[in-house]
Amino acid sequence: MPFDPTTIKKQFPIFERFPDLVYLDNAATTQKPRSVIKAISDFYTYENANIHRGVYNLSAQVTQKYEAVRQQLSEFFEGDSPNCFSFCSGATEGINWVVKGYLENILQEGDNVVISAMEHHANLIPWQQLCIKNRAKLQVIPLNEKGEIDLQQFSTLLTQRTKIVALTHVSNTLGTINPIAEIVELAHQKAIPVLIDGAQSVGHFPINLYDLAIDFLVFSGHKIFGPTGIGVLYCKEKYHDQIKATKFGGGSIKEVSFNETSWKNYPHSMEAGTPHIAGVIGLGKALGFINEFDLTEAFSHEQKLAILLKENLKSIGGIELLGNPTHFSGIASFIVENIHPHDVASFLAEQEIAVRAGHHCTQPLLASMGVPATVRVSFSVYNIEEDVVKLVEVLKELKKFWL
Amino acid sequence: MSNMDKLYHEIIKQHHKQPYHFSKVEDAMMSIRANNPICGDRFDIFIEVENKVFKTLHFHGFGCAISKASSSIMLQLLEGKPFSEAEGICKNFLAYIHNTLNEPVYHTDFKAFSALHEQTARLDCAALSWLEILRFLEEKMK
Repeated sequence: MPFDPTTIKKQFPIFERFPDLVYLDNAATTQKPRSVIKAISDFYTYENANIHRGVYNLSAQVTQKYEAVRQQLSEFFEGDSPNCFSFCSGATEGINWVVKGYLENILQEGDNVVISAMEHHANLIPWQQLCIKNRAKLQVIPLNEKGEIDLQQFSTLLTQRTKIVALTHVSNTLGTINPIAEIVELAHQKAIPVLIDGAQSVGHFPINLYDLAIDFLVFSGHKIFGPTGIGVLYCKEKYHDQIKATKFGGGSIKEVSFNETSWKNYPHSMEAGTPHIAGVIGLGKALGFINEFDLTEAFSHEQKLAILLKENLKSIGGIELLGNPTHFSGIASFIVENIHPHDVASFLAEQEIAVRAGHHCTQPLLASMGVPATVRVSFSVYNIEEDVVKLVEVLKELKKFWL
Repeated sequence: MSNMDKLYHEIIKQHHKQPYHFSKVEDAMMSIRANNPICGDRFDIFIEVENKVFKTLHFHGFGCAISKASSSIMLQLLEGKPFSEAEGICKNFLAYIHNTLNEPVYHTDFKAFSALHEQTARLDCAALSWLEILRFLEEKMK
């Protein structure tokens, strides 16, 4: 089916409730299509039971449905076996699992971890805290003026003591798309594993895990039209025995005695306790929703909106865009001269335009760019050119209001 | 009056454009930091005290029109006030903006923030510096 944002928008009931809503905060969370909402409601209404427990039909069926989402993920990423995908609460938890379940066991004093200057706090703090605890060094890849990673600088940071590279695929603040293939290749030349934070890339453009050879990938369901509280950690088969459970409890074990416990294999080892079953089912529907359109076309639509926005912002005057990456997604951050981002966002909110104002959980990045906060616009598949036009018009009114 | 004119009352706009004692005081007797980690707003408040009275107050930093104006008004009102009276003024303002005040409003300028009774998303902005100075007072009066 050819990509048509107007038809797609009709699948989102929030726009029936608020027909004039211009929702431009998709990097924070996307709206939910009817199919996802219905799948969650149907699960609780008609299918509810716990998984991996009962021999009765309801339980067996929901177990099958839950496990089928791993299969879906494997197809979605053209990647490894379904067993490479474990369900966590979101990208943050996925990263924490790799930090505590994998890296903590091998990180020695004097080792280092490489991240970039554009990481979300979620892909910074867990590594930083472990480095402090294990007396290792956190190395930060600097950015150039355009807000891009300097590959040459990156390769000089990789040493024999580098135990992992953790990098975002797309900057949630600048919209920069990082050259993951090159980064993974450089890291693998030195046998260093790579974790990619896919919170702003998954569901926006196709990702082929075979081609990219990523070792760990995390993302959140709620940013790709799924429910909150569900996310995915992809872990390459090579690391299945090396990543250990970080939470303990039922469902993840092979055998338990009062003296010892043995665990199931990854991914089940990670999923102790009753998981977010409805979340997994909703996530499966969200993947199905994305599969209904051509993702490459959808992404080019988001990029076109970003270009339109950037061109228009430049024409208003007194607005400064943050970064100017050559490869960018549908995310852009800007500041309006002499008007605080919160005051910009309140003014836009009054006209039913939802944007994000603040530091976007990238405080060190903004500090390095000399700004405490920005206004961020982030597009999704249901945004249309009219959204950009309205935003630009209201920004012009804002400037008059604060004159 | 539009909602924006209500939220950004003329008094707030004035204080935002010309905030009271908006400067760094390097050698201040004391300083506290009002920081909102959610939005990145951050003001340093420089305090000179004599016999448990706010002698002079200055502030500096980065914040939105609401947080800047409310800090500016706070400084104007608290200067020269003994701690015990200042505490009451802080509580009066915070109760006013949260629409839970059951005594007369301390100063008419507070009413410039009446839009926050409906537009609660910006309450944290208005309360930022007041909460911090209230914490300071409670600490000093222990």
